[in-house]
Amino acid sequence: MPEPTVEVLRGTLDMLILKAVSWGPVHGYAVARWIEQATNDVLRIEEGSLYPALHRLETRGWIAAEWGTSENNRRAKFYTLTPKGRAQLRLETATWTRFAYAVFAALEAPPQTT
Amino acid sequence: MTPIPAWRRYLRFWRPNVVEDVDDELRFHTEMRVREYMTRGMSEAEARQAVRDRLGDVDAARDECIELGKVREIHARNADFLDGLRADLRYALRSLGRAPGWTAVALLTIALGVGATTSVFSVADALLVRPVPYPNGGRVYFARRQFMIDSRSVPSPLPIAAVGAWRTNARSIEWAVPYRYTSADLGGSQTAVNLNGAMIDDAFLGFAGAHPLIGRNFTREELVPGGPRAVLLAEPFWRSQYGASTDVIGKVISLDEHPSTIVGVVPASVAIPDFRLPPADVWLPLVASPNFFVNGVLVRLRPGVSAEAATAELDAILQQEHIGDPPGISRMRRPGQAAIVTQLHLTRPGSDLAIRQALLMLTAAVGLLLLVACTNVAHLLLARGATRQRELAVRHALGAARRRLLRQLVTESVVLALAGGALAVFVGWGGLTLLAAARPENLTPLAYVSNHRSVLTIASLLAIGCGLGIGLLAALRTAHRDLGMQLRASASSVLGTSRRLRASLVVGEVALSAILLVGALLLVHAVFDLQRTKLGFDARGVYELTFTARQPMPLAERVSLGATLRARATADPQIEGVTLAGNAPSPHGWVMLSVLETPERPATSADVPSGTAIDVAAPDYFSMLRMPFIAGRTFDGGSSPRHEVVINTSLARQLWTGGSAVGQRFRNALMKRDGSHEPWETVIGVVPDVIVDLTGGSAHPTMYLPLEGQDPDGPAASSIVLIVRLAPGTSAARLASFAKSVAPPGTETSIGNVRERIDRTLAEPRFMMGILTTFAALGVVLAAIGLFGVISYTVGQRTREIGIRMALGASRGAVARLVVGDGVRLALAGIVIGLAGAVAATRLIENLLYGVSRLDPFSFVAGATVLLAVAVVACVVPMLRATGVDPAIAVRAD
Repeated sequence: MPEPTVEVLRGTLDMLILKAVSWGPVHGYAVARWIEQATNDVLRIEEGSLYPALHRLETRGWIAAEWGTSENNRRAKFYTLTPKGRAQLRLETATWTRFAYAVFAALEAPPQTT
Repeated sequence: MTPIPAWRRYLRFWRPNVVEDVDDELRFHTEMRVREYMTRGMSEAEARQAVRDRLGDVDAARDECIELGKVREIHARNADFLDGLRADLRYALRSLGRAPGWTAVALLTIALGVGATTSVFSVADALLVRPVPYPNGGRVYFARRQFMIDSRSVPSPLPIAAVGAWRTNARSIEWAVPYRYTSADLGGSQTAVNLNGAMIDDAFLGFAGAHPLIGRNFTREELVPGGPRAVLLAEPFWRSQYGASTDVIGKVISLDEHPSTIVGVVPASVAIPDFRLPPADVWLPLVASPNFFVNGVLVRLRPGVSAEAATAELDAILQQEHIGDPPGISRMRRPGQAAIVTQLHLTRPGSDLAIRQALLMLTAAVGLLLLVACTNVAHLLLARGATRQRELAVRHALGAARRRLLRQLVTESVVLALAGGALAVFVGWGGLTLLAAARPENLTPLAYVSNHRSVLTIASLLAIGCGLGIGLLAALRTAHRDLGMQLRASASSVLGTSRRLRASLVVGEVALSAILLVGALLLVHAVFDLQRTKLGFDARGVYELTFTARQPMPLAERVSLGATLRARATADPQIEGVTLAGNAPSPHGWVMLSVLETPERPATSADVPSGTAIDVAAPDYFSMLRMPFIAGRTFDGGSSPRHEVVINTSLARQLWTGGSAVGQRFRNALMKRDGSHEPWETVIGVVPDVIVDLTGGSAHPTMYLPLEGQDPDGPAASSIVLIVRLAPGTSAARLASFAKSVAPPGTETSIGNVRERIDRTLAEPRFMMGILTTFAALGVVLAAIGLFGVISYTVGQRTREIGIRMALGASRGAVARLVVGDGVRLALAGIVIGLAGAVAATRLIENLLYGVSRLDPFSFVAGATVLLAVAVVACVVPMLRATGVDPAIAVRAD
């Protein structure tokens, strides 16, 4: 399997995190698990970089954090999407979709005719 | 791995801990993954290894998270603060708006108190605190020579050669720059505008740490006699006269009928801090020969050199180089003594200011006024706090922390103070403008106070300081510890302490304004007395008419012209009397430095020179001015060759105590310029003293010389002075048309009102009196407001008690007495304390009182009476409210 480029991964990771927290309060581990399952572990992200990304998004005000108790009664930090974050997610989804369509379109385009 | 202890979460109740939070989060992740992998069948060790692999560089991630966490924490704290502040502000504005009357009074009080203080502080700041805006201004001194006469120091100009000698030889100073005042006529002779000029050399701007705004400094060539004539404009003059146009550079203007080229503009911040001289409109090159004399020299001492050491060195250099005094002074020598001793002094700019004392007094007075204003605001805040106790108690009970309530109250008073401060800036500006406009001409220092920028700084500092101070005090008082008690206890018992505090504030206020009022009344008394000073002659309708020719006139021509003019005046029915003289009695008459001796009592070298006034008079001068002869007679045709003089009583008393002066002889023992003695003068008459300077106390010893036979080359040689007395009801305009009709061609005429000229010597005391009276009036009004507030409040609190009293048969008169008695008691306490304070405080204005005792009973009694009357008036409205109480309603209320 070819390695995805880092640049793509950085922006993509932020978008995936926003998506992961969009259904309600989740902790970091749940975000990691969701990405793993949703992408069939194709984007095997380095989990060390997941947390700085979460904190970055929190600092930007796209997601909000609150301490709570996990399903197994542990103290965990739960993240939720803020309205600002929701707008950002919508924007990034649209951009990403356009980007992906463009790449697909290019890949399926007929050979160049001069 | 140890699980996170549950109690740790409570730590975060007080303060988030960023590092631990990040560690907790990462640890939770690791735990969860390890458990997941173990359920898939890994051993714990394998699972941990797998998690570590999956995490990658966990330390870097941890550091980044901590960094971000800290940023967030700071943001959060700021946001919290701003949120709170915004809420407080909104709340403050709303609650201030709900009591518009109260807010207006408070704002006005702050604006007046802070505004008045700001304008006086700006003056003090410009003249006393920071008079030298130069680099290293702390080491800048004036070098001046002066000598003592009649215990007043008289400046003796310095020759420009001194500057050169100091620049080359002195080690105690870094540099020296000379300056000289001059005046110049701008434009043609018909439409000339008289400008104030300062003469400087090319080193001055560098010394002042300044550069021309536009254009350039003087060049060396322009400082050489006969070099090109250049002029620098002062910025204010450039703005007002040339509309700040940059095209003025290179323009040629006529100064004293010499074409001069404008080469640059000097910024407004540059001034010579010699406040006796008016500020310059134009700066001219100091084109100088070695014998040219300057007003003073500014020197900057080297670091660490004392003023005494520098004075000694600079003086020694003058001696070494034989740099003497100007001839006018060195001629004032007398037998047995080498010369009048002039001394070199180094003085700090502003330290020898004549109005220094007055300024200190005003600063103290306005400080008192500010105190009164602050007290009043504190007072208003307390009154308001008292009515809001219940509201605060409810909010406290609903969970608002005491700190939060305090913060809110302080915010409110700071908002109030800032709004008041903003108004105060305008009051301060207005005050300064007013001060400058009302400034008597001889108070040149005030012309230097134009720096309106300092007003803003001073006003805002004062307003914020007062707002915070008073706000905190009032807030602490209002939101005190027993807030919880408020709901249960009946309000009045808790309010008792606050009422006592407010009563003592009012007493303080009354006391402070009593001090101001007594001070003002003392000045009023002094000015009133000075105005009624007996002049020693009848000044009603007396004018001085001066005819000045372009060139000196030959004696014969002068005598015949004088006779003609006198005849024309005598013929005019509107002119009651006329005489000829050197000048009319005036504060600017000639005073001769003298040591007088008689044949019986020759002068000794121990005698100190003093001033003797000299006037020149026609024989009918004394009868025309209605000065009765005390002894002897006036001049006749032969008086001049016989060296006969008329003297005033002061001079007679000085020379011949007790005995008769008529027939006695005396002379000035100081030698003439050529080294010969003055002739002996014979006294033929004694006239009363004439007072020409109303602030000066007694008259100068004066000698009158006969008009005939005056030195044909003397300074008066080109002018003829007619003193006339207009018939009652004649206007001065009539005199002007007379002067025009009789003036010989080629002469200029000027008319002086003798009484007005003498009155003008009172300008400064009147000015000080005006300012202090304004302050005192403001203080009294503020105190009255304070008193009114306390009494109305008390009446409000005691409505029920008053109702009961009236129900039990108290008459309305008794109730009125009760209320007014309350106010009068407070006022009396304040007045007694204030008068005691005034006994001490009036020491500050002692030298402005011109002979009125600073314990003058009139001022003290009048001050007390005025304050008492104001106190009674302040009680009238609350009294009416109290007597209007309907017992039936009041008793049932609450």
